[in-house]
Amino acid sequence: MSAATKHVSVLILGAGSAGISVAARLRNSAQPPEVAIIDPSEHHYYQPLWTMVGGGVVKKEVTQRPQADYIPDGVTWIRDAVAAINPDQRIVETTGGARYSYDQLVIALGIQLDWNKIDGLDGALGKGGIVSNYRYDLVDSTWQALQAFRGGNAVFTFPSTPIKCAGAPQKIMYLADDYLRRQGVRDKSRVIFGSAGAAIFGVAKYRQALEKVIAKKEIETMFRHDLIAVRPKSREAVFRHLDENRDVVVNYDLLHVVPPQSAPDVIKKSPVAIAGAGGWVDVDKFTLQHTRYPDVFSLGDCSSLPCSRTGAAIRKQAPVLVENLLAYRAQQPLTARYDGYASCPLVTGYGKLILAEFDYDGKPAESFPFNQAQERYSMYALKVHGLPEMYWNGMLRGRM
Amino acid sequence: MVEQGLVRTDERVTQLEQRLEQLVSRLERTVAQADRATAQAAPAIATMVDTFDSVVMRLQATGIDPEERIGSLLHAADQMTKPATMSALDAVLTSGLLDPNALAVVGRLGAALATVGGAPAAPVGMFGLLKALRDPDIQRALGLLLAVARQVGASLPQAGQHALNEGDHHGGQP
Repeated sequence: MSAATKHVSVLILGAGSAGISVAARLRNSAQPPEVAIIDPSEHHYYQPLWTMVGGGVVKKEVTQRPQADYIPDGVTWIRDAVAAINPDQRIVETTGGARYSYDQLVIALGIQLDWNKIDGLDGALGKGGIVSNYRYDLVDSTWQALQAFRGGNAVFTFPSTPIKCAGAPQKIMYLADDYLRRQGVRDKSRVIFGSAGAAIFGVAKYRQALEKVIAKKEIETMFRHDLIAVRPKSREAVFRHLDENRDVVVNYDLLHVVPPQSAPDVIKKSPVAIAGAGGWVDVDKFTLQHTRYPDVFSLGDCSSLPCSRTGAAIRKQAPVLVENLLAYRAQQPLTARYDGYASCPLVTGYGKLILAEFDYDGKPAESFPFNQAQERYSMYALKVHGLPEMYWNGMLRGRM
Repeated sequence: MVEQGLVRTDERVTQLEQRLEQLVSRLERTVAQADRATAQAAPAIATMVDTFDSVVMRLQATGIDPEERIGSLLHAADQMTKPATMSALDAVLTSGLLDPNALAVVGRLGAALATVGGAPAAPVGMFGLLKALRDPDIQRALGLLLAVARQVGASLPQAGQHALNEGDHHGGQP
């Protein structure tokens, strides 16, 4: 160990939903360990509302708050980016040249947006009708393009990789459909869902409800179609048909792009990564402990957990991880179990929402005693007005 | 002595047992009540939310956007509760404007404005004005306006008073 290496008892990589939740819960525990968190970001974002920004419901500024306000008391914030993770030596290096050793490591680095995997997209995003809700600086472009849309093809994509909030690609499509109807241009438009997936949703109960929404809205679906290129000059989107191995070209007037996604490169290059596609942190799906490095834990989008990558999933993962990490420190057996719970509030139009909640087995795991597969205003109000406050004041404070 | 002591202890144990039985019985009743309340809560919540959502859905079907209306309501509440608005409302409430007689006149004025506001009025010259003065409706309206002018004038300060007040004010300066 070099002289410049600093030691931290529990080192957390990433101050997103997962990192902050775990840090807050650790500090709220009866005997809080020393905790440090590495993250360079000045701001923290409530990303679930970006769909509503793209749909013109809320201003994007309400989704952004200073990161400093959410670093828990007693936690050391290292404003730097992670450059390398060496679990054999228990060392993390930063891009600023610092080295940190740890007793336990929590990897919560989120997900990487691989925009460059789509040919022709570089330099074309946010203009000429090509928009995306998947980046703070771009999310305004969706609403601007919708307002400027006077008819034609509105195309919404879904990539072939796992992504964060798998409902988001279709939510903005439903809002767009609703908006175009209100503006009287829907009858001059085609709304097309070009998705690499095989169906509109994985869980049967919600899939059946969403298929009715799609039929009612007269949305055209192109399943097993993966966006591989855009041609801005001719306004063409090129899809690869995944079953027939041929390209399909679709003209667009508005193209909402969801980028392919994977674990951050720093994880892919580390021995903590799982073998194979994605490069996720290889953890036990129930305990959230690394399968080969017992002092490493991971949760959220960068982990190999085979669940839907949502903030709601993290809300259930964080207490499990913290309980097991503290048990590991106390040399006790790891008894807490994550059941794969995830939630996806599927906005199906202005004032309408289907609240999907399910577990690893694809079984509905609903919180309310009524049919959540039904479109409801109450659940829409919960998403737009209730959940953001619960996030800032509950989840990030380690209270829920 | 020992026997008496044993009897007393037996009695105390019996009393304690009875008290315990009463407590357990009370606890069982409370738990049963809580169970019933919990069992009833879920369907009650479901009924309320279903009812609320179905009402909103019906409103949406008629083109009413609840989010838009709630936004308007919040905006109105914001405007209404501003301190300046409250002062203005106070002034209106104590001005006599809400007196039934005043409201009747305001109502007539409103109706008249609504009637003539839809189309541009024809221009009127001196001769047209003189001719209009022969119209009984105009004469009654002018009577009302003059009566109002008399009352307003009586409530205004006299020119001298105003000057005097101003003089007093200036006189106070060194």
